[in-house]
Amino acid sequence: MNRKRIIELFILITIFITIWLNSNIFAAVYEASTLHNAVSRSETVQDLFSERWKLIEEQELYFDFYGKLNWVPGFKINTINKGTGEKEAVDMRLIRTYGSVTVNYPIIGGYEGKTIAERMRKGPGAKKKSEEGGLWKPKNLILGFTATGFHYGLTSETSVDRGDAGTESVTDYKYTQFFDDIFAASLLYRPYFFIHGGVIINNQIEPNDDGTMDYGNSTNRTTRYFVSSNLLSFLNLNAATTKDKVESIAVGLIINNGLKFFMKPPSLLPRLTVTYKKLALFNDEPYDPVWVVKSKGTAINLSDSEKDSADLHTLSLLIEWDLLSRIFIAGFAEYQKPSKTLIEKRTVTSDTDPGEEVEYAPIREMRASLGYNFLSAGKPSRAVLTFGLSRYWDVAIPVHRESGEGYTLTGGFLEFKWESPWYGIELKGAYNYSSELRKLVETADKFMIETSIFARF
Amino acid sequence: MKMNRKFFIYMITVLSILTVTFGTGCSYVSDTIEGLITNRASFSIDVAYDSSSEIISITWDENGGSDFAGFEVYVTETRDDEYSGYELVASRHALPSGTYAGDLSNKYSGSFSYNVSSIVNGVFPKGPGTYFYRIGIIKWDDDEKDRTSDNGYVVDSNGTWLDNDVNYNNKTEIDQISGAAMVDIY
Repeated sequence: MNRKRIIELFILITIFITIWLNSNIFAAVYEASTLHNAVSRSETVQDLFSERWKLIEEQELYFDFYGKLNWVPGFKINTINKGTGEKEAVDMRLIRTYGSVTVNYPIIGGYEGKTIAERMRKGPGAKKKSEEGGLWKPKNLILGFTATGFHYGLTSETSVDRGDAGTESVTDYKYTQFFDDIFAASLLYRPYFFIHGGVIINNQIEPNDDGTMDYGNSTNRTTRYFVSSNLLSFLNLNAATTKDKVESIAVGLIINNGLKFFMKPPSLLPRLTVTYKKLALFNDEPYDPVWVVKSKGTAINLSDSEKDSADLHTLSLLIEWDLLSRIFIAGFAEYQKPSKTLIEKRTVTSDTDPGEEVEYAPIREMRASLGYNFLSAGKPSRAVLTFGLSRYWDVAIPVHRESGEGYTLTGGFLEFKWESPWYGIELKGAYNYSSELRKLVETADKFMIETSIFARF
Repeated sequence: MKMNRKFFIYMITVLSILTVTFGTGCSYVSDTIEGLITNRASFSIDVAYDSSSEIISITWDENGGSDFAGFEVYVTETRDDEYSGYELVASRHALPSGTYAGDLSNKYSGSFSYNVSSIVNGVFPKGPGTYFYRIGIIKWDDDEKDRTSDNGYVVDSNGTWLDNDVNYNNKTEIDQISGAAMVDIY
């Protein structure tokens, strides 16, 4: 497939997604939940950090930059119009922006290529050789630094008629803006282990009444600590804590790499990863959709002594299959179980109403995707069109969905990615896709569009 | 690969400067970029109405950056509606007939005043009510050296671009926009 056809395909996808977005009809009114849950947001930014580092390791990168802009239009917000002093539903847009920069320095050894010039000629990852000497002969020690950040927030858009100079649109910040950043140091002693450690800074900022915002005007700033590690290329151990408690623990096994201790895995065996997670997700906070253990009535804010907390335990299987760098298949399924009884807040109508217990579905998420590379497998560049389908269960879905009932949503995504060894772009549209709902359940029944760029060597 | 130590230190320094410059992390950098793409309101203005003289006064502290073309003043086209679109009130160059409320021919002015009672029909604001004002900082589409006829600018006989209405209307865009300042006109 030549470059012209790739560009044509890219334009077609852009048009398709634009039409898709413009044909959307929005109904429900926004209620924030996951946005205010710093535990959930911390998990999201850690997942993005891990996702990026997985690629950095596969491609053996010294430098990686990644930027993503994500727009979800159609959030109907019940807000006071200062012109009338009365409440009305106003269309707003959720924006999510993500940036990540990683720099790695080889203290001992290094990756492929004797010089930067040689590496630039060959390209990262594409000419990678197998590990010299196998599993027990490490060849390099690498020190890295990563800054990763995610911003979430609502904005409103207004048109400005400039007379004969035309019309432009401008945007204002609306409601609380959330900024989550990771600063991490990494040590890789390949293939024995790697370890990432750092801080997660969750910051909330209230915009000014006129729609502007001062980054220094923080209203709630918390710090968490995290560690993410891998032993012998097959055992992942991750945790995030506050000063007071451990909020999340994850243990993962990369089955294929484990098998290498005993046998040579079949080359066509898909990569299998099994992960257990424990998340301190429910804490009787105002934004939680459930009460823990028992109903606390219709109260919004409780004192700390009145609050209960519960964990969510999950067990997942991820299957990734790269068929000759031409076809990419992925599948994911996750089992879930809360540690305590949960009462759905929606069913609590008075302070004496015990409400209804949530019947947690055993399967939290199922998704599958299929990608096809339009460029020949031997080339260092790729042009991959991927689509996926999913099913996602979340106790907050009834709060955010625009039609129907129940805790489950089925959705999908379409993505086009073009990458050379050094840089690339992505364009993605999704509707109720589980990975997006997992990041932010408020996007239920809403289309999203996303564009990303990256550069690396 | 032997990575140059100086290069690594250079990269870390650049990262540190970026981090310090933009606040505390990548989330702020990426938000800033998104804000630039979508013309996010980035500075505040003051607006006041003197009912005895019926004069609206708007003041701001911002200066234009590179390729600065002038300021523009906008007001909500519908009264009592914060989310209404905005119409042009004043500009450096002449406005369309029937909507002229004043000019900002002094490119570097930090204030603008006008008498709402002397405005002809069709000029904003339209009668008593609550209105919202904004200031736009306008920039040329190109650096001065690129303002050529090949790039669509009207030029004089020497080939020098002209700072006139035609170029202003065709070759400028909003660089920065203020937040919305509310005022009651009665």
